[in-house]
Amino acid sequence: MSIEVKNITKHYGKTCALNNVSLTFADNKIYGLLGRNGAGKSTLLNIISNRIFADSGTISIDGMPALENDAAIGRLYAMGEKTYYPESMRIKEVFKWTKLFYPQFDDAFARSLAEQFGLKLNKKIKSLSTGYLTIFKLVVALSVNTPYILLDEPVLGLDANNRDLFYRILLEKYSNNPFTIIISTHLIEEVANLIEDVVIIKEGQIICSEAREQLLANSYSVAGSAIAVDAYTAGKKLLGCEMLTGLKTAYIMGQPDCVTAGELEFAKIDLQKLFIQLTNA
Amino acid sequence: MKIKPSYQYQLIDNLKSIMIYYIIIICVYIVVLYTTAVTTSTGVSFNGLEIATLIYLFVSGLCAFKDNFLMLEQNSVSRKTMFNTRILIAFTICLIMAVIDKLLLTAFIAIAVASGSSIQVISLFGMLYTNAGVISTIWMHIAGLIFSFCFYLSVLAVGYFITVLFYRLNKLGRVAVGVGVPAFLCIGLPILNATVADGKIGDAYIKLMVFAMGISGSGSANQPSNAIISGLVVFAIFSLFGWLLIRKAAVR
Repeated sequence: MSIEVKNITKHYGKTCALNNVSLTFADNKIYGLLGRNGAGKSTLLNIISNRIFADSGTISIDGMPALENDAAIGRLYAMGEKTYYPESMRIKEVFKWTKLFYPQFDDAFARSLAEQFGLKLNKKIKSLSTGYLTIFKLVVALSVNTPYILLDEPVLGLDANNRDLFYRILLEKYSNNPFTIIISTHLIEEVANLIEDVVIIKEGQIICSEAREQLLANSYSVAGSAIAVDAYTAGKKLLGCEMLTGLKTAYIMGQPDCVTAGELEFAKIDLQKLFIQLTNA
Repeated sequence: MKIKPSYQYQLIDNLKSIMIYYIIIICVYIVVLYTTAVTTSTGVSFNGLEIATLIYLFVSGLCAFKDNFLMLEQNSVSRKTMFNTRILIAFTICLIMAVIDKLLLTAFIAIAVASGSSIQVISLFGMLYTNAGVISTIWMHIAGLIFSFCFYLSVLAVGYFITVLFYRLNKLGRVAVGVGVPAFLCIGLPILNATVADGKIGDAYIKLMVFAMGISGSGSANQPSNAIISGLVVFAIFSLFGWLLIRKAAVR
């Protein structure tokens, strides 16, 4: 039970958005799909959900080819940055139609979520602000109950309170009934404790796909005088360096070698810092 | 398969506007009937309801793609299912409208006769294939119904094809097709016909239309079967082209 992406390549004119990408999204896990602007995150999610076509490669969902296959793509729900529901439709009508397309859609849960977020069901989609548009799409996404939920920028325009509420609801729902969630976001600090696995895309290629704990455990920073840091990092897998008021900090992949430490200070790297170093390198 | 919800969604979407269209038609008829009665005018006729329906269906075809495509994509419906559903919807709404048109025309004639109005109600089928629009035999009703149905299908498919084509084209392509095709048909072709082809293009076009519509001159000798087959052929061709465009349409 998984989404398997095999050798996907996609070009937009001369720009290569995805270059021979292969990875697997296993079932019942929360993934963070991270990358800088234009890295290819949305393209990958759009190809998985059949919204756009890859130049080459295949996607399979639970062993079924995803291309033009209702049974396969019906197992996922993709919430995009854009809104694809008719603008003149009311939210309660969206719930009604979603129930028809996704029979497992939980109408009562959707209504309770809408109430928690203060979303009025009689409102038309075109009358919603950016934040409420996001809330509306999140409410639908969290209520469809498909095995795979793809969230592209799920907190776009949400205030801190609503973002916090969303993360809490997501975790609660996941704990009660696990499913696969793929979150593509730039707010790495906020999702750092939420995600189990990290997939980092850089210029159309996957540069990292592993468990968050493992990734963080296998990286560290070392700070000290420039001479001492340079001496320490020689021969090590250096991700990047920063200089601040004569103090040099180096970010390194691997385990700290404390024997040669001396005046140096070692620390763990948080996910956002690691992401910056990995994607800057 | 998601054919059932896709069908239901598009049908309800269409039924609302069909209802509004017929309310307008009925209102127009009432106004004409009332005006004729008040002014005691003679020689007033209420013709070609089917022409109005054809225009409605063409516009409906033009408006049918983008919103539905995006909504169905959002709900994980494959393009294949969308297209199959579209064909079913086309058959359903054309049949519904052909039946309603037939019933309305019959009712309009009956009302005109019962109210002693001088208003003449003639259908498109009646104008083309019989000498008068007066109810004759059951066969004429059935043939008229099939004629309307097939004609409606063809116009709906053309409208749908145009909108899918415009969706697929880039900005430059849209301008080129949007301006180029009408300009060629309205200006280029008549000039070509008059200068280079010495009127042969025009003659060929008239011959084709006469054959396609089964019109030979006098009403009683005209053949509705030609028009019925032509309608189905146009529907099949434009639906096929539509499918070729839909199958690789990307969400924008």
